[in-house]
Amino acid sequence: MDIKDLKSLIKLVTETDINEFEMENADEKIVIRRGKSQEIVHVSAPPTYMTAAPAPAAPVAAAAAPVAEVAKAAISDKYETITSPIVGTFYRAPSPDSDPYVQIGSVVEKGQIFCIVEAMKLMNEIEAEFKCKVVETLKENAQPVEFGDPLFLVERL
Amino acid sequence: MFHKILIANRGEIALRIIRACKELRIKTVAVHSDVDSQSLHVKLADESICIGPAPSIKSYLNMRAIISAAEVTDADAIHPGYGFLSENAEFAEICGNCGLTFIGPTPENMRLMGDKISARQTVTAAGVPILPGTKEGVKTAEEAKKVAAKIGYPVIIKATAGGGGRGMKVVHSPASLPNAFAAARSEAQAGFGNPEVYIEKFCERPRHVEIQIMADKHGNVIHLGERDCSIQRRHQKLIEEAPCPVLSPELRQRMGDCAVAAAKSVGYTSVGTMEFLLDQDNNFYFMEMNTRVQVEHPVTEMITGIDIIKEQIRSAAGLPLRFKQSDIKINGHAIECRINAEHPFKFTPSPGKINGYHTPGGLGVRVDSAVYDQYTVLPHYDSMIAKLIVHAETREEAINRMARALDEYIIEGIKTTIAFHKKIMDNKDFKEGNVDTGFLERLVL
Repeated sequence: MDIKDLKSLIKLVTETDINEFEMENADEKIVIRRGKSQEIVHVSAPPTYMTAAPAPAAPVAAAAAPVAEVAKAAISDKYETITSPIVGTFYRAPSPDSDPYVQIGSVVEKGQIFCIVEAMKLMNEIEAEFKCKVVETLKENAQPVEFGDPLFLVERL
Repeated sequence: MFHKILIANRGEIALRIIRACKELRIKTVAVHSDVDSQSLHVKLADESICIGPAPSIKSYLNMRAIISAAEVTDADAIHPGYGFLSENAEFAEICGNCGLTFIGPTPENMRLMGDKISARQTVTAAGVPILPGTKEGVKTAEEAKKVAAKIGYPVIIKATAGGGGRGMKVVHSPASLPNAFAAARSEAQAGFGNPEVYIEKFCERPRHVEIQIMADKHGNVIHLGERDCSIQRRHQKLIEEAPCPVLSPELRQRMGDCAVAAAKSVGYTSVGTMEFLLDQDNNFYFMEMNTRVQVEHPVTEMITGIDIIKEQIRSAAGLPLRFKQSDIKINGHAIECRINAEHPFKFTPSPGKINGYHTPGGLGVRVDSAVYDQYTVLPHYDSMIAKLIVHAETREEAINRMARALDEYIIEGIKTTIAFHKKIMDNKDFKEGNVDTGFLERLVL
């Protein structure tokens, strides 16, 4: 699987509340497991000894896919995504030793700051446009983000 | 050599640059607007970053977003392509200040050659002929008479504040000058609120002939011959060819030497093109300089065998030019047709989904395009979707090859100008090499 596809897969998993995702085919096995705010990704080639063909990936992927789809559908009805308006680096807190601006469960008022996206040495504060509750933080601290990249999953209040 | 280049452009030129980078083993970053996420340059780059919404001003012209994208991806250079920010000296400066190499000339050279007046002064100092004309406005009919006599008829009277072909009067003899002068002034006043006019030599049926130059950061400058781009519609080039059918080797050398001299005089360090008007008597006059790579660079590549983008990147990385002037040989003839997503004869835009796509092939056929089957051509950006280039031993063979290639080129679902190009390949004047910048205007298809 090339890096672009892997990135899309990870994005897909993080945009839902799937905790563990596993996919296997003849060439590789991919496991994505979430613990606290970390995604752990294992990519490994299965042992090359000849045995009865390993269970094909199709059932596993098929089993995972509907779950992902259902979870995503359920989520998109209730929740909204806050996306980045600029390209830059995502920071959860105003400085390395401060507390993050928001946590899961935080209630954010209109105009309150969610996070910072740094671009060209300027710290851009990303403000809430409506009152909401934070359901999920979708990016890691210091992760690069692009225009339109989802940053937070929120529930409008 | 650069480790990673960010391409600050889209479409076929972004793809062209990515190809050159891949061959040089340089990593690539594509930036794109949100509507461009399915573009070929995005798919083929090693990394891609969405930098803004559809409007160019918020994406491809958004300097902050582009620099920010270069920072987060750790790119060490930016290639601006053509159009967009490629001739923006401020952007080139910002790149430098942020520790990024701008693949192009210095901001000073961009400013110098970007301003028409300073460009004319600069090249004149280097011995390049410019179109005779007044530098300032002509105030009285008396002055006009003197100036016109000095320049030599025919002359053209132009509004200083004007443009778009308005407020221009061509004068063929001294007798018609006083009336034309008065009329031009009142038209200028009415049209632009400023009656000031200047006078220039009028070139009857000029050809647009441009010289490709290439320079490094060590003072070496060479030229790669010329291109004839006379076939234009409203100042937009549609068909280009190399070499120019009427240029003798001696004239080529004179024009080439002029271009090189002008570039050397300002310490030019990248690729560029010097545009000239060539009149019916084979006098050439400097018009302007483009301080970037041009759309039609492929025709020069076909006849010289040189990859202009790769050489531009090498030069930007500080490597000396690999060729001397004496190494440059011209082989055969090349023609390029710009295929636009437009009605072939009305030229109205025709964006939409391409639902059948097959490119021509065979010896001497090159397609530079970023579209593909099932791709949706967007309405937000310019309408050129492909460049069809052919190369053959003679001009006649090149025309036949282009006609053959156009016949094979299938693009369904949208309208394209392929049918228009077929008509031109079949046109008697074109086949005889009898073209000038007024050719299309006069043409009845």
